Amino acid sequence: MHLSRRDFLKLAGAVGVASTIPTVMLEKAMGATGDPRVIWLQGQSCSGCSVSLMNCLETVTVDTLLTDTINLEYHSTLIAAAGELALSGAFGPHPSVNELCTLGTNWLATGPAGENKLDLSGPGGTPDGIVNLIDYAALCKQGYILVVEGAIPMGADGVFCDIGHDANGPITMKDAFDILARNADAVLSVGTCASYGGIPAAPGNPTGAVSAAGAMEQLGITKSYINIPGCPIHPEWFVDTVVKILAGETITLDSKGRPAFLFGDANSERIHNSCPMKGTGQASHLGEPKCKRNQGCRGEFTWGHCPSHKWNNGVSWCIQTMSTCTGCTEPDYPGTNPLFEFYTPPSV
Amino acid sequence: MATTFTIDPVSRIEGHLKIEVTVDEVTGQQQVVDAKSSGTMFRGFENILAGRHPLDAPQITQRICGVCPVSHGMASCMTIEDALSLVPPSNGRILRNLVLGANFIQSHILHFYHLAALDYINTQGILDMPPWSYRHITADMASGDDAQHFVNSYLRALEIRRKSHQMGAVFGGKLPMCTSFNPGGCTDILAVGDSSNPEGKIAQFTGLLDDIKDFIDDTFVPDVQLLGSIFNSYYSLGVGSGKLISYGVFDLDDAGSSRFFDRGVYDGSVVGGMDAGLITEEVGYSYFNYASGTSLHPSVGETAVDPTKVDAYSYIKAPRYNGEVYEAGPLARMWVNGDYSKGTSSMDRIEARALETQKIANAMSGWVTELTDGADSYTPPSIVPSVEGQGLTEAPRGALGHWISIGADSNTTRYQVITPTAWNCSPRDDGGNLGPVEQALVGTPVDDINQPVEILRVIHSFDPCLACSVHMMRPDEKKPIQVIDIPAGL
Repeated sequence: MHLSRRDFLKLAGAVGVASTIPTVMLEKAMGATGDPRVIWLQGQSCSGCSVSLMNCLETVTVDTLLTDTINLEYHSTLIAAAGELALSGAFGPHPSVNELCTLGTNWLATGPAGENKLDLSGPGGTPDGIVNLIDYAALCKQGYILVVEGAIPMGADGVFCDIGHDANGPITMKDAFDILARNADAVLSVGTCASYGGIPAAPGNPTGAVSAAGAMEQLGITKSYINIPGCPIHPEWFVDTVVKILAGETITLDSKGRPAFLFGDANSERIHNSCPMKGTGQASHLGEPKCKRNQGCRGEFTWGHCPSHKWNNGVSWCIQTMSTCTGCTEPDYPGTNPLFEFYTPPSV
Repeated sequence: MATTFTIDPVSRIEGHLKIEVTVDEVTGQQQVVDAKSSGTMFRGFENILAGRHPLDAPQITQRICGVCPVSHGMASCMTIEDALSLVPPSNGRILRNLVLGANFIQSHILHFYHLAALDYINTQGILDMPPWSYRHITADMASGDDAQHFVNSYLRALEIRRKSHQMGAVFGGKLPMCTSFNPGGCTDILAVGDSSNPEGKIAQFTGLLDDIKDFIDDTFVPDVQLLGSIFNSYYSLGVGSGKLISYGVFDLDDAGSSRFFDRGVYDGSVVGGMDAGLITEEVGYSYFNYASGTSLHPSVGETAVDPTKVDAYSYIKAPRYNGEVYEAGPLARMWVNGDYSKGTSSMDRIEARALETQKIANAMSGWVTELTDGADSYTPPSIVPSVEGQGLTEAPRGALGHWISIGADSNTTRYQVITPTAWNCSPRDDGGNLGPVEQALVGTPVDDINQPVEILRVIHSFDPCLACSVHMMRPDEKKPIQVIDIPAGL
């Protein structure tokens, strides 16, 4: 029995409640013809941002997001296929030798495989198959939004993260990102690791982990990108941004590359300014219903709509548990000794 | 004639897993004769934790994994509490159990429906858009009304796992990563700013728990039983080493002497006590080098990463118990606790996971009634220098241990983690003994190597989480961790 997408909405019980997006814009986004293609690439990720995204309720639920809003053509946690069949969702079908020949003389690049070159001399590849990565990318899938979750390890030619194997051997996150970012219409960095490097890139970083923007700089890729940080990301931050993109809106970014409608730069928009603990006196330890600046709270240095929207469908948030804000949306998260520790008062 | 092929990515797991299998004709049937399980991503959490204040660890270690962060938060709090000889108040213990239980439920529902089920269901004609349109199809997959039934459950399960996180956030602050777990207990209090109405949060929690319990009873457990009846042969496939290890979880008293799931091991013959001193890790086939010794207890581990190491094929080490291959997970917990003993096949793992979910959800209703209005749930810790601690608990996927050393300067000098997926997706040890997933794959029939669903079914029964298994490296205390420069093209 074939189910239409409308039937899915009924089955899934999609609920639209109060959100940051006016209803009329949401309907326009949901009805947009040709649901946009999205490729979701995970690098040095914990998958927390994907798990958090699955908690979305306001604006859309995740089932509606997947069945009726976007075409999620690759996400290794959800895709039904495995191996090369799954990778075809990200890269398109494997280019044939004939297609490689259409690259002209450039496809037989000289020198060893390595920086910006792919060694295609494995089974199914070509006898002298060293290809310029940029030329190979031209034969891969074109035109989609690339979502990056997790940091990208650039050290040691990217060996610290493989995202798959095809007939030509392992595909590093570095090379996968190189190809997929070049062919993307835009890049969305989801979570603090992809936006700013996050925990893998904190000092002590043994793998050369960088953000998506940092990787693009190293790889010489120029592409529009939006940072939607958070550790993990708040699901509404992703959904509300995507809805605006689908509606054809221009997303204004703040100084850290984040959607200004969600974050911003003004002091008045800091978490501290809206915090219910502000002005209630200083707590002497966690667990007390008072301001926790002396316990290391970073609400004064952090932006996000946590005080008003809270988390997990308005149930609670970091401050409401009588703990601190750890500044997880900011480029300096998670800091290090002596930059900041979570429960040591900030040295300002 | 033997054929070796690679499946990478193994999808519908957490993280990056590569499986290389060799198949050959055995008594007229093509089946797996050898397997190599490889973790293919590495971050190096120890570097980030070293030198930091110990209290940062429960927040940082939760980011080892976004599916089981609460377990890491729990283990981290426990290891620091052990180092400081700090016992959380009862309310704190119970609140942490409730948040942990909520995430167990979320994880198990996510696993069965959104990670495992698509191995068994032909969704053609039902879910024809991405990401489901990229799929394997075999003749033995459920189709028609059965497939429709599972798809309906799959969609409903998306809502229930969201509600499970919503429930956990009542006392956790936010999920997946919770903020109320700190050494000393749970910082959340039952009534925020309104000590006269603690029932508000409890009613919120139990209302969601009742919805979730209905789904577990009416849909989740029956769906697992239905799958088991359709795919009955999988009660004989993916058997693994047959040895099971559980650290135990959900402390039932403040002293930690009684747990909802017992601590113990099943050696293939009897259930007995577990001695944490018999846990070791070997690196014969892992991308790490030990300067001294070959089979090291985590408290004396010393390791440097080496991506060039010959014969190595994984960033996961090989945990062993008493030198033998043990498997962790819901099956291990239920078996050691005396709640399940049918077998150790892939379908047994799936069934035990569902029955465990039901057992935990039912128990949580009782745990809520043990909360005491107005009592403390958190005792602020005082860090003391030069102490060590150990925290042994269970993640949804199995036995999880954290070990901390706090130095003379009261900062973290060493932090180590052994995760359940390290146990389960372990490579060969120094003796060449295959890890649990590798053993489970040997003997699995493969009808068509281009549609390797039988292999995926066995792997997914373990519920692998790779971010957990490859995050750690343990430095030689004298040498900083080096990234080995390797020539391009390696």
